[in-house]
Amino acid sequence: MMEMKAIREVSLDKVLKDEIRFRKIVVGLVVVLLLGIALSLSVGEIRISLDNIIKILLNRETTNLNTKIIMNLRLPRTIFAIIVGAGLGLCGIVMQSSVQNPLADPYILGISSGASFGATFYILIGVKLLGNINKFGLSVFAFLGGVVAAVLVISLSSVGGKTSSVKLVLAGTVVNALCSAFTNFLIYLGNNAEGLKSITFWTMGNLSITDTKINILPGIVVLLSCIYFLSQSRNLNSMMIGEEAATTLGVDLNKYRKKYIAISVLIIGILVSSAGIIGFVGLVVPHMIRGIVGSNNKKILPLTIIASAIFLLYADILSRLIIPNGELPIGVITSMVGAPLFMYILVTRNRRYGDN
Amino acid sequence: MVLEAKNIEIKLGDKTIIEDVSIKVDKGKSVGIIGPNGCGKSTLLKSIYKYIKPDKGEIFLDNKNIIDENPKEIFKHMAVVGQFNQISFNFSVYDIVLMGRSPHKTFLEKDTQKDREIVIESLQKVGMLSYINRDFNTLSGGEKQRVILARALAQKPKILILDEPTNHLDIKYQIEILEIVKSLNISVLSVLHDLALTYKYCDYIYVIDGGKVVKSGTPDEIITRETIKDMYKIDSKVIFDGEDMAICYRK
Repeated sequence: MMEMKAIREVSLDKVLKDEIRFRKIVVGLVVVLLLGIALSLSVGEIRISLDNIIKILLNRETTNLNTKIIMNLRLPRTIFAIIVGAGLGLCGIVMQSSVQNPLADPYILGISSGASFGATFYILIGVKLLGNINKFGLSVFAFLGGVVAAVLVISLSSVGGKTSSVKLVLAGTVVNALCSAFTNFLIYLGNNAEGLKSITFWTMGNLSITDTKINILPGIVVLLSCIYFLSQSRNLNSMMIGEEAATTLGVDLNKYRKKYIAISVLIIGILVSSAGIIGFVGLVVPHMIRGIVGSNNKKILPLTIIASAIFLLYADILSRLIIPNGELPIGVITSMVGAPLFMYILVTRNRRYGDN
Repeated sequence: MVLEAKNIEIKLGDKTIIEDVSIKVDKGKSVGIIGPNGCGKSTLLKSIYKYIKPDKGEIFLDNKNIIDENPKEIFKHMAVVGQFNQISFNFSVYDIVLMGRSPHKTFLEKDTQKDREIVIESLQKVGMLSYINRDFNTLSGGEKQRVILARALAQKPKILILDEPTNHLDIKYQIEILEIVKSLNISVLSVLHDLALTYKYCDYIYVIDGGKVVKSGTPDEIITRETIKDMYKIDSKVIFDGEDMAICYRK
């Protein structure tokens, strides 16, 4: 009996040690994020020292040039990068759990290709028909395109009863192909070099915003969604172990899957419409985190949200540093860094992600 | 708990899989279902654990109507050990067993010391405690099955549904799992592919063939040469050794 008790103590200890390790990782990531924020405010064509940044943030003087750069350019952009990164990472996890496929991407539902179609439509046709409605015209069309594509994918995959993850992925592939075809069709017929340039630019992603107000809607949506999904970690866990097993743990999978996917669609629609297409964040970051702490959503949700914000923030810093006196589109950086990382994960994942 | 399914009918497409089946599991009793492949026994179990909605009939767990009741309410009392253990994500053994606590939890409730102790106790019961930090996907089929049983135990069920839970196990673990289940003294409804084990561990047996209950009774009444002949079209000899039984199959 004594021995049994000792074994239990040791096991409990293992579990508690794991939780302490998790907390240490959270603290570590927060430190890296804060460093990233400082760096992001400091680097660019004009370097601003940390001293000055703190002074500017505290005093909010609006007189000199540095203050203008920080308050009107770098701070909104930094916040935007954090919001977009956190949102993409969050949606990555939610999508992967909902369709029970660790390779699912937030864009699997056809949102990105739908949004591209919407944006292309606006740039090549919408502007002519409606005139330049306002500066949000492009965002509105991209959002609508993304949401319509996602709704199409979801309804296709639920034809004939239960939505299965296989049907969802297949429907996503089909709708992606369809949207790309129509986008290319418009581009070919449009024969508009200027328009084509802005479409290409849009599809490479863009975090440079000049108006803090652009942050408000995505900021609120991403923040609320983070809070909501942090409370859903048990449901997400149950979903990941399969439909039938989830049912036997009291989770009504069909109901929650629809709800979670709808929220993800909304978030990605909003992010894509304001930042263009930024790939790989929602795919690579959750994978890396799972490699470190396992797949329990209680741990990977908070870690991925912070780590994705870090990933995009540093990618943005890099994009401003690589080309002197210019910047590289953010989507190019995330894909150039993300794709090799993903290759590495695929090669090394061996038994850890047994999908036998 | 008492489980009672009344006049269940299940159609998949236009094919009737289960037709007018009624079964009952009394408190603390172990009830087995046997029948040839494709007879509909797994489908019947699926309707009992809410994965499939029957087209007709009612299923009661004590006074709760399983079909309409909130799933969480049902799975606080009912646990299922089945065949669906393929997981595409890397969960630790601890994480998997802890999921057994989720029907008892509201969204914002934290995992308590008590939950951790229940997990450890459940893993100890199935002899998998030393694997607590292992990645579930690196375990063998038999080890996985024992962890899934531990998850079911962590639900603290009053009724257990077993759908061929011992398929991947060697005989030592088959017996061990069924002994663990027996020691719980709760109601059990099981489909076991082994007739000798069904005989040994069930108090009452239903025979399903062609989607209907064709026979039911005590193990002594049911596990006979005639039943085996009817079900599998195979001749056999049933041999008794004390409380145990063996079947010799003839061509």
